[in-house]
Formats: sequence, C-alpha cells, structure tokens
Amino acid sequence: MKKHFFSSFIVIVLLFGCQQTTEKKIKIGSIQQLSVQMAKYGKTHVAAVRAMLDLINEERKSKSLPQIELIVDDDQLKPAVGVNIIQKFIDIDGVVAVIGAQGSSVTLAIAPIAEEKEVVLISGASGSPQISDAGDYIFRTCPSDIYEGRTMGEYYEKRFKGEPLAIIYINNDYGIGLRDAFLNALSDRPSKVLDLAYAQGAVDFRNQLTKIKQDNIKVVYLVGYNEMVSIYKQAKELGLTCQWLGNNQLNDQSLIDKMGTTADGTIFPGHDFELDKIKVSYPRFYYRYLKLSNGVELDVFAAYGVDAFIVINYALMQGAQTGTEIKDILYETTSFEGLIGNFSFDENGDALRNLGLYEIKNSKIVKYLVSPDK
Amino acid sequence: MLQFFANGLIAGSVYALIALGFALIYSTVRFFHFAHGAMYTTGAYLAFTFFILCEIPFILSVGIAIFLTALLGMGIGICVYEPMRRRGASSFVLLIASLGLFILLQNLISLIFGDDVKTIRRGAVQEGYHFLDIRITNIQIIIIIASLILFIITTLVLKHTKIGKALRAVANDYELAIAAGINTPKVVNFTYFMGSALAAIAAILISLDLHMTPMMGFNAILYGIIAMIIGGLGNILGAYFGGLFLGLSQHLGVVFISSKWQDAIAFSLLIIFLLFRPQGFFGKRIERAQI
Repeated sequence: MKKHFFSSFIVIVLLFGCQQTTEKKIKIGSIQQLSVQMAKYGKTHVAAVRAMLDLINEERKSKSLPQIELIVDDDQLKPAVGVNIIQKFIDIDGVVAVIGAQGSSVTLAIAPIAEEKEVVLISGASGSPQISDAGDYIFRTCPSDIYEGRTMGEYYEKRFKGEPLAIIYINNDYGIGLRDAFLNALSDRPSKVLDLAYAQGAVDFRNQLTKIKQDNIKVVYLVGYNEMVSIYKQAKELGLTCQWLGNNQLNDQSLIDKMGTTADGTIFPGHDFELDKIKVSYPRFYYRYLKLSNGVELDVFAAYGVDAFIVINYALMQGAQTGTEIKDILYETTSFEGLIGNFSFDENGDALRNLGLYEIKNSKIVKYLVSPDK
Repeated sequence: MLQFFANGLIAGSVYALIALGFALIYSTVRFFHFAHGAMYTTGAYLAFTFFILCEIPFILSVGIAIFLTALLGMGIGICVYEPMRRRGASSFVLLIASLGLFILLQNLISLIFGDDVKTIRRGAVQEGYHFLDIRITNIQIIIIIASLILFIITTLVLKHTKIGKALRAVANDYELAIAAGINTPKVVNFTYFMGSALAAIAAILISLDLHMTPMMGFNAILYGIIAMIIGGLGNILGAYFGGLFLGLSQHLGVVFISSKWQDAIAFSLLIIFLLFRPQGFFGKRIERAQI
C-alpha cells in the first residue's frame, strides 16, 4: 500500500513537472516612456501591444504554442535608465526581443547592448537617422526622420522655393535630426533661414516668434511635441501669420483638439494612419485596447508599436528561437501585414512606409496630398 | 525691440512673484526651501481641479487654490521642518528634506493628473492688443499689474503691520527676535503661508497665459533662487527687482544671441553676481552664507 502510494506520488510530481515545462513562456521586453513629457504615448503603446498580445496568445494557445509574456519598464526618457533596463531584460529576464524605446536618445543608448547580445530591438517611435546605422539587430517600424524631414523639405521647395524660412525646433536628437533632414532636402538654401532652437521643457516661445515676425518670415517649419500647443497659441496672440509646416507629432487628433483653430492651415507628413479603418478591420483588438487604455483613442505610435510586436510574433511562429533567427526572418520577409498597412524592412532595418501629406482644417486632420514616389 | 522688452517684463513679473515668496521664507528660516517649487505647481493644479474639473466659478476656484496651497506650505513648515529643526537638523539637512519633498509632490501631481500639457484658460485664443509695435494680451497685462500690486501689498505688510515688523525682526536676527519676545514660530508659519500663496498666484497667472505640466516647478524655483541672489540675499523686496531684472535680461539677451541660450543667460547672471557682487543689488555684504 505504502509502495503504491509512493509510486503514485512520484508519477504525479513528474507529471506536474512536465506540465510546468510546457508552460514555459517566451518573454519580450518593452522599454517605453511611462512618465515625464511624452508618457501618454508610452501608455497607449503598452495598452495597444497588450491588447494584441491577448489575441495572439489565444491563437498560440489553440496551436499549443508557448505563451508570450510582455515585460514592460519605464525609461523616463533617460538613456542611462534605458541601458539598465535592457541589460536586466536580456541578462536576467532572458527576453528574445525588445520593443523600444520611444525617444531616439534612449534607443541609441540601448542599441549597442542589443547588438552585442544579438537580441533584436525594434522601435515604434524613434526617428533619429542615426538609428539606421545602429546595427543589424536594430529595427524600427516607424519611418526615419530623414524621410519625414525630406518630405517636408521637398514640399517647401515645390511650393515656397527661396522664400525666407524659420525653423523652430526642440533642441534634442529628434529636433536636430528633422531640421538637418529638411535643410539637406533643399537644392538651394533660401536667402534667409532663421534657426530657432528651444530647450526641452520650455514654455515661453515669444522670443522665437517675435524674431520671426520681426524678420517678416512667411514659412515656418515647426518640430516639437506637446509644447506646440503653446507655440501656436503664442503665435496667434503675437499676431503672427505664416504658413506652418509641421512634424508627424501632429498626427494625433487629441493634440490638435488642444490647439483649437490656432494650428489651422498647418501642412505636415502623416503616416496613412486611418483610425476608423483599424477599428473596422480589427474590432476585437480595438475593443480590448480601449479597455486597457481607459478609453484613450489609439495613436499612430501605439499602432507602430503593435506592428513591432506583430513582426516578432511572425518570426516566432516561423520557428525562430534566437535573436539571430528572428533578425534573419525580419530581413528576409518581403511583406508584413501591420495595423498601418503592409511594409517590409530595408537593409538598415528601417520600415519602408508610405508617407502622405496632411493638413489641419477647422481643428481636424484631413489629407492634403498623397506623397510622390519614394 | 519693444516686443522683446514686453516679453521680458511679463516673464520678469512672474519670476519676481516667485522670488518674493521664496525670499520671504528664506529670510526667516535661512535655508533654500526647494519645495517652494512644488507649491508653485500645486497652486496651478488645484486651480485646474476646481475650475476645469469641478466647474466651480473661476474667482472662487482661484481663491480656494491659493488658500489650500498656502495651508500646505505652512503645514510642511510645521510638520516637516520644525520637528527636524528641534532635533538639531542643519540647514543642509533641511535643504535635502525640501528637495525630497519637491520631488515627492511633483511626482504625486504627475501620478494624479498625468504628464500631458494642461491649461486653465478657457475660450478661443485671441490676438493681443496692439500698441507701440507691441502685442500684449489681457492676461499678460493682468500678470504685470497683479505682480506689482502684490509687491506693494507685501511692502505695506512688511512695513506697517505688526506681523510684518515681527517678520523683519526675525529676518534681521532670529535669536534677538526670540529674546525680544517675538513669537518666532508664528512668524515663520506666516512666512510659509504668505510665501506659498505668492507662489500659487504666480503659477495660476502663468497657467492662464501659457500652459502647465507637473515639471513646471523646477524651472520656476531655479529662476526664483537666481532672482533672489541678484536682488540680494536677505533682501525680501530686492528679490522682486531681481526677478524683473532676470526676465528682462533673458528676453533682451536673445535679441543678440540664439534663443536656445535663454536659460544660459540666467545661469551666467548667477555666476557673474556670485563672483563679482555676491550681495546682489540691494543686499548687505555678508561674511558667511549658508544654503
């Protein structure tokens, strides 16, 4: 009797142990900005990826594939913090891939570690041109700033060639990258170019705007984040009228709503991001996303984040188990179906995307022109 | 050029209020109360809560926000600094405590309200009034006038009220004030109350004109400190003029250099004054200073 009990006990323990083994999870890390300036985008990103993760895990469970676990951490837009996080993700948590970061400065800081450890890193929001050269394991699902800046530069040249120009930009990798890409797209520099940088966290832009008004500048290229709300407001109060050229941060209706009509007439590059289309095409995803985001609508960067997750899952479903295998599949695949349409990666790991021009009319984003061939 | 002068006057008026409140507190407690920056942010967000979220009439919302912020400032003095001081904490220890409080309150506001840009201004944005080649909005005019009125009120309180005279006595010599029978804890509580109220008013004014974020207190307190040093450490009213001088210097300075160096102008002024005139414009030359 005792022998039977003991044998049964051993069998049960072994069965339980085997069950634990088949429940091993695949871990993916996510380094996002969940506090400070752009936290809103980090939070919607995490909600969107988690919503898609739920659906994908249901599919994986039906095929008896291991579940994916998403580990999220906040880089606070600080490169040093991002570095600590990715080291922990890779060395302690054993992630197979990392999604992130948002800020280019953080992505550039963590890229060498991902490259060294041969772990795929995919950003859904970092646009700095330097990321294209950050390594073979470094990808992004959003367009490079070079393309965005070049698109606006080409538009300026087509419509306003030679007219005095001002560039107001945030003094960081993002702002400087876009400024440079814009100016490099011009075949001839205009006779007057006012270079007006502002520090991160600035709230008073009256001096920059006063200089523009004083010099009678009629075309202004604006590169910033949330503070653009104040820039437009202060421009209106100062009686400044000009043609505004914007950046892709304007591809966010909730930001435009805060501006009222002060940003009307702005032309900016958009991502062919059609929220209504996503809601119709992916109803289950969107329903879950709204619950996780407490009702905040999806923005384009959250959608890019989901695309990053989709391509990693695709590689895993193809049998990839290591970072190198994931990387190879990402480069070899000619078309991924993402939330924002089909895309692939070029030899630098940059997503090849369509970029259209949009305009703000009566506080709403409307299509302006479809971009010419890339 | 006139527009830059107007821009500087507007900014300087806000710095002056922050510096006035900061200097009031410093004059009696003799340490840098960094949490003053958190009082600034709290004032703005309380006004936002009552006016925008609770839809309480504007004047009432602002009044309640100022009063609660002043109470909070006084509460910090009574519940945090005073017990530490009684246990013999040095000025440096109190400074560290105030820095901790500043970060804690700032993060609390960020947690509750989120980090995105907010405003307590309602209605469509209008072009400013136009005269003498200057554009200025009604809010900006109110900022300049309100700042001046509060400066006058503070001057009158300090010179002609019992509590004001007691405050000046404590600021002059703390130990002698005790010996003279002045209720120094009451005076110190009053300065925390009044100083925090001034910070809240400055924040509400700036939030009506620009926007607010949980991080807004950091720059505010830095400029407040610089303005106080320019005006003269220990000279409460001098801090007001230090604020005006700082605002005008920053904004007139960018006429000649790139706007990205605007903050650098402020810190350059700080270094210049510390090196060549550490007593500021109106302060007395001092043998030793502590932060």
